[in-house]
Amino acid sequence: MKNGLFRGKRAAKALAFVALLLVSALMLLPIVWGVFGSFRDYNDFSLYPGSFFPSDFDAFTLDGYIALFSKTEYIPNAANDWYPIWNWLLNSLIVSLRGSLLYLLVASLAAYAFVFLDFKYSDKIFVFLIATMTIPGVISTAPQLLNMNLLGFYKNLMGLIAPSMGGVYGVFLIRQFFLGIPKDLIENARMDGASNFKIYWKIVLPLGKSALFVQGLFGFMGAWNDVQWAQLIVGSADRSLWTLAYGLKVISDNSEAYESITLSLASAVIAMIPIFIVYLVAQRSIIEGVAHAGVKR
Amino acid sequence: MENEVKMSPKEARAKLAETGNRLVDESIGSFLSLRHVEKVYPNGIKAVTDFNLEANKGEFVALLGPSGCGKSTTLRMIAGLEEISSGELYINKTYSNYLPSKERDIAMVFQTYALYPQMSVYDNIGFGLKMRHMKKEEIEERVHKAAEILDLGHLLDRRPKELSGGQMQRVALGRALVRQAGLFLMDEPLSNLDAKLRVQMRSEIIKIHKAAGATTVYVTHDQTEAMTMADKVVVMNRGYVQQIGSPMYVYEHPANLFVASFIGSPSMNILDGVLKGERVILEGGFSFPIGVKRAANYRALLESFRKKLEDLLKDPEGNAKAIADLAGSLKPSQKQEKKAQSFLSKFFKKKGEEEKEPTPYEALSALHEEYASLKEGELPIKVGIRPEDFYPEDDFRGFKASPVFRGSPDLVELLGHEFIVHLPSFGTMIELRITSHEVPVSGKSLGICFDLSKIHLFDPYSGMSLMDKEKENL
Repeated sequence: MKNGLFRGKRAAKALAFVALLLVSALMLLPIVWGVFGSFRDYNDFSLYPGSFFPSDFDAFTLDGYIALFSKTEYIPNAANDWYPIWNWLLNSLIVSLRGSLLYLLVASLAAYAFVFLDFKYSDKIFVFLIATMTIPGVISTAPQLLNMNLLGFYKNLMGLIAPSMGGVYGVFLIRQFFLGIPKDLIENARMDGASNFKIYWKIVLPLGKSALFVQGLFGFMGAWNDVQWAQLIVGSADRSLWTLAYGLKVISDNSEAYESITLSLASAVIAMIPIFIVYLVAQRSIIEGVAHAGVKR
Repeated sequence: MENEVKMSPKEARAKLAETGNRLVDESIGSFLSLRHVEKVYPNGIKAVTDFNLEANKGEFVALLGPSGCGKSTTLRMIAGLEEISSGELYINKTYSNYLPSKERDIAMVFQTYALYPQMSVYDNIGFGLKMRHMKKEEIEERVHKAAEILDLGHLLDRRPKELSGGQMQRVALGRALVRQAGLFLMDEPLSNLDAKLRVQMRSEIIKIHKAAGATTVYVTHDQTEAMTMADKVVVMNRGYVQQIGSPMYVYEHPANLFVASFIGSPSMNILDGVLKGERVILEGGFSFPIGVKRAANYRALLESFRKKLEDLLKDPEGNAKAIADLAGSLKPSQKQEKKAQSFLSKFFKKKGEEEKEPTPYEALSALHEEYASLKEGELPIKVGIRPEDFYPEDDFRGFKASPVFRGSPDLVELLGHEFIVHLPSFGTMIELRITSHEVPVSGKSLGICFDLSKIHLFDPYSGMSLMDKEKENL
């Protein structure tokens, strides 16, 4: 066991481990700090020299969360007494779930067509689509807004859902994954008498599960965290239409005072929780992958 | 289609409805019929040229050829996975060029097996039936029956990834079997198996073929598979059918140099020689008689071919297709071409200097000139002799012995019941298959003769065999 190669391998492994640990720590520490901070008395923050964790047990407080779910004065010109944060949560869920599901459906159908159907100019159309990826979103914001207005989706949650259906990035990634599915499988299914939709539904989708999950997760996160577009579409007037991300942004914008740091952090944690749950659910499928064992190469 | 009938659109529609929207031609006798089928890819590459085949019900047809010869493309055209560029395909008297695969009553086994990884063996086998909306009980019955035939009963709940290669292969066969299709298509189904399993599955496939009573088209590059399994072998090269016939016939009467050297292992020895009078003189001066009749026949055949060339070349435009087809079918295999160019010369070639492929017309003109330049009375010839048609001089068991020649073997391979002797002679290395009680020793001189009645003669320029037609004259 004492040969040099083995020791060298172990050293490399240890080095990699340390590097990974370091990167994970860099990623995780702000989150950990934020989560603890959301339960922390603002006075505790002001102590010098300060500490990473709350300094003592008394510093724990739920004030941030209580304020978030009860005090309407954090919302500018709050008139009603009900707490729209539940509304926001629901809105966000509707927008993100519907948006990502529609996004997946459209993207996977398009990817199926690009990979498994022969049609004229398919590669040219695809190149064109890919080219649109290079256009920054900011440029298309105004025309997109006009589009939504024309469709009657202005000040409407549909205005948040509809644009996500045209996600070229998803088409590209799912297509790449579909390209890895052996054509023989599709041809065999075709000879077995399956229609294109049956092939898509029974063969391609089950095999592309992991790619779709990842794409779905991205779509979900994109919709969930989107602030600018939500602000543009639903506007600031009708609070019940706000999404969580936008609402929480308004809250933290209005809580620049040092005292409200707890509140800001609490809102960030609230916004994080659903994503975290989605990740936990999807994680298994992402890691599981799909065995291509049915085909011998 | 040739049999044109005039009718009004209404009548035509009524007639189509009668046959379930299919064009049925009752005059076609064979079950599977391909007529002048060609495949040209959009990039202009011609994969299959003028493919003609008639296969009867229950026949086992093997498409045999080196990789890239168009055999898989042909199969895929029959399957409906590849469009037919021109020509006609009839399956069971039905014009099938444009029928979707699922309506062609075919079942296909892929080289990769193409099992659905996410489904159990049972679902894999039953998928095709399910897609055809068959009743659950019937699917169950058929799947279990197929599983019984293929000995898959205990594996029905497993996923493909839990199966061995041979088991996956059997599932793939089972999937084709349950469909009870009229036509089985198999695309190199055994090439992923090890040698022992391959032999075993060979008989299994024949068993299934007979049990199902279906017509089978089987693509392979393995001549042993084609020879042992098929009723009819179609030898292909570079998209052209080289010969169609029973395995035995193709083996004994190869139509050209390609078939001669492709079929048989070790392959046929091809020797350069000159035909002078009625004697063939090989390199080194060794000569043997082929008979006056045969020699005259050879000359006549060559002359008629030369004449045909001349006629074709007279009208290059009118005969463009015929010229292209002939030139294409005569071209040496690409492998040989590549070999001829050395790697370095290719590497250092300047741009623009690349050799242009001669046009079909140029190729045939060159060939024609080649014939014109032949010396009177002395014709170059290629002689093909199968390894097993050589005998030690004292142990001749053929029909008509040739004169004896001597040589000392470079290498003797022992195969148990026989020897493969590598013998340098006639300016090349010939391989002989000898079953002898006396062990040949490498380096020790050996007296050898061959069976004159079994030799094959080829035209070195066109590669044509000159044996078929003279068979009855012998």
